[in-house]
Amino acid sequence: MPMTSAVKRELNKSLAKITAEISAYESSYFSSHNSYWQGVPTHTIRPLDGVKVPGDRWDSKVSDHPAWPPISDKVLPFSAQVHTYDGPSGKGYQVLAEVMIGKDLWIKSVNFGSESYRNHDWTMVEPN
Amino acid sequence: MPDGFNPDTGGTLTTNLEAYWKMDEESGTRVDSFGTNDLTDNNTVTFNTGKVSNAAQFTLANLESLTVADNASISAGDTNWTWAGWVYLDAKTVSQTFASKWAIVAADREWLVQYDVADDRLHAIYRASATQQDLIANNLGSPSTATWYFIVVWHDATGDTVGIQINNGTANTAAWADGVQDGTGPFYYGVTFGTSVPLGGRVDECGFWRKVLTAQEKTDLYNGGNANTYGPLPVVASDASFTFAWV
Repeated sequence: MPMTSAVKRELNKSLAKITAEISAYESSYFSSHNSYWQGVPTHTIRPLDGVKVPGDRWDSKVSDHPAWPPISDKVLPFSAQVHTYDGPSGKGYQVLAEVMIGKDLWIKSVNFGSESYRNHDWTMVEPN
Repeated sequence: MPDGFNPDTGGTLTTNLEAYWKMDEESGTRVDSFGTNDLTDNNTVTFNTGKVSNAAQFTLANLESLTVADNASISAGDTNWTWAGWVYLDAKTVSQTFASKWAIVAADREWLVQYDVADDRLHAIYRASATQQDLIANNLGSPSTATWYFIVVWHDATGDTVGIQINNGTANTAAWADGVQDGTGPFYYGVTFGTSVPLGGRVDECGFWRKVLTAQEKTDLYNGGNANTYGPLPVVASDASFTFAWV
């Protein structure tokens, strides 16, 4: 199912906001840990069709990483997660946003670091 | 002291070798010992006991993976190629990915090797432009947890076949004239397109060749279940290095 421009606009608006907050937190985290913070998906069930849903996993975490930092708006139209990386060209992280549009999963990735190939706009995951 | 494999009966295991990962590092970048495809560590892949020295240990809940961006040396395409490596499952509660060059969009998918929980089998998928072949390792049967398996998957563009072989046993093969795509997605260990079908287990001693390995080459890599590795070859003394004196 296609993503309408109106839904995409709202998704990008929310993503820009949370990405800015994550970025500020990652800068601080890196200063004290020399590595970036990994964040688990904010929602157990991905939000549908751009409708904002409160995340239920803000207090969850992966081993050796704290749970999500304070985020100003915990009601999102997508599920967000943060992946870290450590490679030949340095360390970085990417913010991944996932939303269901109808029965289709759409993902957007925003990269912070040297591996720019990790950036991609909203893309529908095609079934196998 | 030259580097190579031991055993390498025909002296051909480094011919058309594109990349070889020993997975001995405890964290961070996993070096390509032969080529230039060093792997980035995503979400902190740890280490554990491997077939040879260390293995990369993936924790399923953490979505850990190793990756390198798409490039010509690691792209399958409609060529002769082989991927081979040792894998180990911690549990079989869900499907899991060992290696993949499989993108979000179908047009960029090439191949993957997974454990499929529905079939309870190891399998490989080969993707062409509009079709794909799902080849199941039925000759092995149900894989066990906490057990090392040596998987070899290949595409023979000349003979139009694909194959998957476990532990140097009888391969499962299929006719496949549609070829394999050359996509733009990254190459991954431990996950499919970054977030999907993660692995809880280990991967060790893996390589990618731009050829179909011969039976002898596969036997040498399996090495009677002891595995092989790429590195400095042992020095063999020749007769010329000795001086004899008659007394």
